Amino acid sequence: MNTLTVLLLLLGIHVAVTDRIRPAIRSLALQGILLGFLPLADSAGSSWRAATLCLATVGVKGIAIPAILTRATSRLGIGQEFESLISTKANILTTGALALAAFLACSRFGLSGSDELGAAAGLTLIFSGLLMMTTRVKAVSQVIGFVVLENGIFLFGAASGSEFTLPIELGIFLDLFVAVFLMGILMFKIHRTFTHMDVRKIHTLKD
Amino acid sequence: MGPPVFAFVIALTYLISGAAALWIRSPRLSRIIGFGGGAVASGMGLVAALVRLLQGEPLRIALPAPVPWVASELYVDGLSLFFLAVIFLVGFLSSVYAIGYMRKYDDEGRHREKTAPLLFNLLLLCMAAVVSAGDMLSFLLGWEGMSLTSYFLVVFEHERAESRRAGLIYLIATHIGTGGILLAFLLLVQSTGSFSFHAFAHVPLPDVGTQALAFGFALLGFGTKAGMFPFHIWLPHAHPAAPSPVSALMSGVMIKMGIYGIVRFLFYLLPAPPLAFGAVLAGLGLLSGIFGVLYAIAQHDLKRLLAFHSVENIGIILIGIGSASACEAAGFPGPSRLLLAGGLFHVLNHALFKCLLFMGAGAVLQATHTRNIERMGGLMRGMPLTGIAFLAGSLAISAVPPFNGFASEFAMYRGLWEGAAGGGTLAAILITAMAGLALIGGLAFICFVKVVGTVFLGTPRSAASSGARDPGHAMILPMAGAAFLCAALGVVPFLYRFRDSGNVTVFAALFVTIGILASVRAVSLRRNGKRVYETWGCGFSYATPRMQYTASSFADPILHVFRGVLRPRTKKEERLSGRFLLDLEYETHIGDLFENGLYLPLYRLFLRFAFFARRLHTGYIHLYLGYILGTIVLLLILFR
Amino acid sequence: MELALQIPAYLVLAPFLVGIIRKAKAFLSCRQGPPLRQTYIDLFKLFRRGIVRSRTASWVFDLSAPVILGTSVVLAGATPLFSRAVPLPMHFILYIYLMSLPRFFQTLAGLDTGSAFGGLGSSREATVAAMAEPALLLSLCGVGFLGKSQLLDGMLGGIPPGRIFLRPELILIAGTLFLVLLAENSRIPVDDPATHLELTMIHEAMVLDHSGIDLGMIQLAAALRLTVFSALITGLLFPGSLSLPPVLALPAAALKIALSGLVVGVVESGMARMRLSRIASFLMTATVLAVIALAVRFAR
Repeated sequence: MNTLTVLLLLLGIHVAVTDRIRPAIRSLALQGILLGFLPLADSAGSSWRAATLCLATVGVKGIAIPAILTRATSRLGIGQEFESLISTKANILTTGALALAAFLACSRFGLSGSDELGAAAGLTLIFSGLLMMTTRVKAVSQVIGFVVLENGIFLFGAASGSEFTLPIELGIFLDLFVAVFLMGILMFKIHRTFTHMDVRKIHTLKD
Repeated sequence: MGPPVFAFVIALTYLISGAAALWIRSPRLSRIIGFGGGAVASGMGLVAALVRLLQGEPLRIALPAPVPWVASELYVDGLSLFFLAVIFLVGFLSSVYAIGYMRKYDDEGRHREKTAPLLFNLLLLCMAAVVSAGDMLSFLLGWEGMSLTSYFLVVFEHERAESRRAGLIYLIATHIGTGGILLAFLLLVQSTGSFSFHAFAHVPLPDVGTQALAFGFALLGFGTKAGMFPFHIWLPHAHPAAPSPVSALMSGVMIKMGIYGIVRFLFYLLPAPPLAFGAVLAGLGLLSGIFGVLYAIAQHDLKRLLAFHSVENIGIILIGIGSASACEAAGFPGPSRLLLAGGLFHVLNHALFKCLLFMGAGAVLQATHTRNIERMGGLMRGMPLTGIAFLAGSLAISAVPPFNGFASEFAMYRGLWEGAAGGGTLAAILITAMAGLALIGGLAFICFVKVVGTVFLGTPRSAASSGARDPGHAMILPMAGAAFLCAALGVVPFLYRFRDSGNVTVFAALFVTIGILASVRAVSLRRNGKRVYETWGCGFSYATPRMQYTASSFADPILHVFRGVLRPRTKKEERLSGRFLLDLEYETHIGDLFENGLYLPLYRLFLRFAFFARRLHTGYIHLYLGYILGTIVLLLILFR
Repeated sequence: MELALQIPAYLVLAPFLVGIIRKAKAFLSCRQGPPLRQTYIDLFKLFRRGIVRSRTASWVFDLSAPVILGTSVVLAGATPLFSRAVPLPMHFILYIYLMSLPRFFQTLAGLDTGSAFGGLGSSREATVAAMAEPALLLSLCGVGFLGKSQLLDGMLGGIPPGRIFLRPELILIAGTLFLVLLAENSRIPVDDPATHLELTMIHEAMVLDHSGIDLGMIQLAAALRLTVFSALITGLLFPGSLSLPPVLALPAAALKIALSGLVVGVVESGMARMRLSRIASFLMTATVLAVIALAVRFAR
C-alpha cells in the first residue's frame, strides 16, 4: 500500500522532470494502472464496487488516455521533447521543493500513518501537474499535466478518507475522458491552424 | 594583578608601541617595534583570555563614563572571552607576519609605512573593545573605531585607484551597517530605558513585531560587517586592496565581529526569539555559503577569491547559529548547543585557516608580483614551505578530515541530525541546511583544488613564478604555526568530545595505513625502478606550460551547471582570413549579480535624488536663512 | 576473528566485482569477455612494475597513490560486509568527508603533471563529486534515521529485518545510493570506464600519467570503493544478510557483491553515456529522491 503510493509519487515526479514526451506518457499510463489497483489494495467495502472502479480507472487512465496522447504526438510530429520555460535543473529543484512543501502541509492535517503519506503524495502530484501546466510550452504537456493533477486529486481523496460513491467516480472519469478527448481534437485544430503547438503564442489570438 | 589592570596594560602596550613606530626614524626598527609590540600585547591578551576562559564567571568592570550622565561598563563573559581569544590569536600571528611582509614598503621613502603599526594595533584594540563592551555606547565607540582604522588600512596603498574605490565602498557599507545597529539598539533602549546590555537582556521587547524589527535592523548592521549575503559586496573589494596581513586580520577576525553581534543579539539580548528568526538566519547563511563559493570559483584573483570564501564561511557559521536558534525555539536544547558550539568553533577555525591562506597569498604575491592565478604555477618547487602551509589551509577550508574545518562542521552536522530526528517543520529546515552544507563543502573542494593545482603544481606559467622563492622567517613561522594549529584543532576536539564517534581511532588507522602503503611503494620503487620523463603528450612532442589546464577551464564545468544563477557574460571574436582562423578572442566575465542588479540601480536612484536635492542649494544666503525660518516654524507646529 | 577478515575479504572481492561487471557487459553484448581472474592478474602485474614519473610532478603526485588506497582501505574497514560489527566503527559524516581526502590528492595529482588531460579529468571529477555530495549525505542521513544510529555499522545493523517491499523509504534510499554509486565510481551514464578516448573520460583521464605500482594502487582503490558502495546498498536492501552464522556469512557477502556487479553491468549495457552538462540534472534528481525518501520517512 505504502509502496504503491510511493511508486505513484515517483512516476508523477518522473513525468514532471523528464524532458522527453514518450517516457512521460509511458509513466502516465503506468500511473493510471497502479492507481486502478489502489482501491483493490485497501478495499474494505463492497468488492464489486472496487472492481468496477479498478476496471474503469485502468481502462481510462491506463489505456485510453495514453493511447490518445501517443497517437496525437506521433500524428502531429511535434518532436521528442517538451520545451520548457525553465531549465531542467530549475524544474527538478522546484519539483523537489514542492514535494517538500506538500509533505510539510500534510503533516499538519493530523492524518495518521499511510493516510498522511497518501495525502502528501496526492498533493505532490497536484502540485507537479500544475507546475507542468504552467511551465511547459507544447500543448500536449498541458494535457499530461492535467491528467497528473487529476490523479493527484484521486490519490488525495482516497487518502483523506472522503468516500465518493461509484456514480460520482464514474462521472469524473467520463468528464476526464471527454476533456482529454476534446483537448486532443483541439490540439489537432491548433496544429492545423497555426502549424505549431506553442502555448506561448496563444496570446496572439487576443485582439 | 587584577583583570582591569591587566587589560589596561595590554591596551597601553598596543598604543605605546604603535605610537613609538611613528617616531622612530629607521623604517626597519619602526616596523619591528610597532608590530612586535602588537604581537607581544596580543600574546599577553591570548594567555589572559584563555586563563580567564577556564575560570568561568562573567566579569563586569565599570568604566569612567564617556558621556556624563550615562554609566559605561565592560562586560566580559564566556562569549566575549572566546572572541577575545580569537582576536588575540590572529592578531599575534598576523602581527608577526606583518614584520616580514611590510618590509616591501620600506624603500618607498614616503614614511606612510610608519602609520601602519599604529592603525593595526588600534584595530586590534577596538575589536577587543567591541567584544568586551557592556553597554550600547562603548560598543558603538569600539565599533566605529574598528571601522575607521580598518578603512585607513584598506586605502593604505592609496595611490592606486582600485584601493580608493574599495575604501569608498567599504566606508559606505560599514556606515549603513552602523546605522542598522544603532536603530536596533535604540529600539531596545526605547523599551528598557537603559543603555546597558544587562538591562536589555532582562526586559523583553513588548511584541513580536518590535522584536522582528529589532532583529531585522541587527541583521542589516551585523550582517553587513560579517559579509552576509546580500550585504557582502564590500568584502571582495576591500580584502584584495588591503596589504596581506591586514586582509588576514580583516577576514580572520574583523568580519567575525558581525557574528559576535548576531550571537549576542540572538542568544543574549533578545529573550526567546521565535523559530522564524533562526530559520531566516540559517536561510541567509545558506545563500551566503552557496553564492560565496560560486563566485569564488569564478575568480582568478587570488585574494578576491579568498575574500569570497569569507562570505562562504560566514554562511556556514550562520547556518550553525541560525539552526541553533531554531532548535532552541522548537525545544531541542541538546542539538541547539551542539550547533552553537559548532558555529562558534567554526569562527575560530575560519579565523585560523583564512589567516593562514591570506598569509600564504601574501607570500605568493610578494614572490610573483601578481594576484592573477593564471600567471602562476609550479610554485611548490621554489616555495615548498609556503606550499605545504597553503595546502594545509586548503584542506582545512575544504573540510577534509583530519583538519579543523571538518571538526567544526562535524559538530554542526551532528546537531542538525539530532535536531532533525524529531520531524516536523524543524526537520525540513535542518535537512535543507544539511544538504546545503554538503553542497557548499563540495564546491569549496573544487575551488581549492583549482587554487592549489594552478598556483603550486604543474609548470610555471610566467617567468616570475619560475623564480619564486620562500619568504623569510618572520613570514614563514606564523604560517607554520597556523598550519600546525589547523591540524591540531582537527584532532584534539575529538579526544575529549565526541569520543563515541571513534573519529580519533579512524584518524590513527588512516595515518598508519597510508604510512605503510607509502613505505611499500618506496621499497617497491627501489627494487623496480623509477624513471623520470616528460609528461605524456599524447604521442606528440611534450607538453608546454601553455597547454596546461588553466584555472578558468578547471572551473568551467561547475560554472556551466550554475550558469542560470551566475549569468556569465561571454564575448567571442574571431578574425578569419579566408578559411583560416588568424586570431580568436574569448572572454567570459562573471559579475556579482547583486552588485550589478541591486546596488548599482539603487546607487543611481540615490544619485538622481542627490542631483535633485542640489537644486535647493542656490548659493543665496537669504534662501538659506529662509530654510532655517521654515524649519523652526515647522518644528514648532509639529512638536508643541 | 570475523572482524580481522573483513578488510582482506574486501580486498579479495574488489577485483572480483570489477570482473563480474566486465563479464556481465560482455555477455550482454554477445562477447565472451576476459576471465574473472584477469583483473587479479592485471593488478598483480602493475604492483610489480616500476613507474614512469613526470618531470613536472612534485611530492603531491608521489603521495597521491598511497593516500588514495589507504583511505579506501579505511573506508572498507567501516562498511559492514558480512556482520553487523566492523573493525573500524565510523560516524557517517566522517565516512562521507573522508571520501574527499583521496579525491583531493587524486585531483591535485591530475593537475600536478601539467598535462591538459589530467586537468580535464580532475575538473570533471571534482564537479561530479560536488554535485553528488548532497545526495550521498541525505541518503546516509536517512539510513541513520531508520537505524537510529549515527555510526555506519550501527545504522545498517539497526534496520529491523522485514519484507523490503513494504518499506518504500528504504527502496528510495537504496535507489539514490545507486545513482550516487554510478556517479562516484565513474560508471556509465556519468563516465565510461572502458573508453580510450581521453576527451570523453573523467576518471581515466585523471590518472593518465600514473603508472606501475601507483596505477595499481589507484585501480585497486577504485575497485575497493565500488565494492564498499555495493556492500552499503546490498546491506540496506538485505538487512538479514548481516546477521548470518559465520559459515554462511562469507558466501552471502560474495553473492551480494556479485549481484550488485550484475546490476551495474546491466545498467551500463542498457544506457548511453550522458552529456557532461546533464550529469548535474542526474545528480539533482538523486538529491530530490533522497529528500522524498526523508519526507516519506517522517510522514509515517
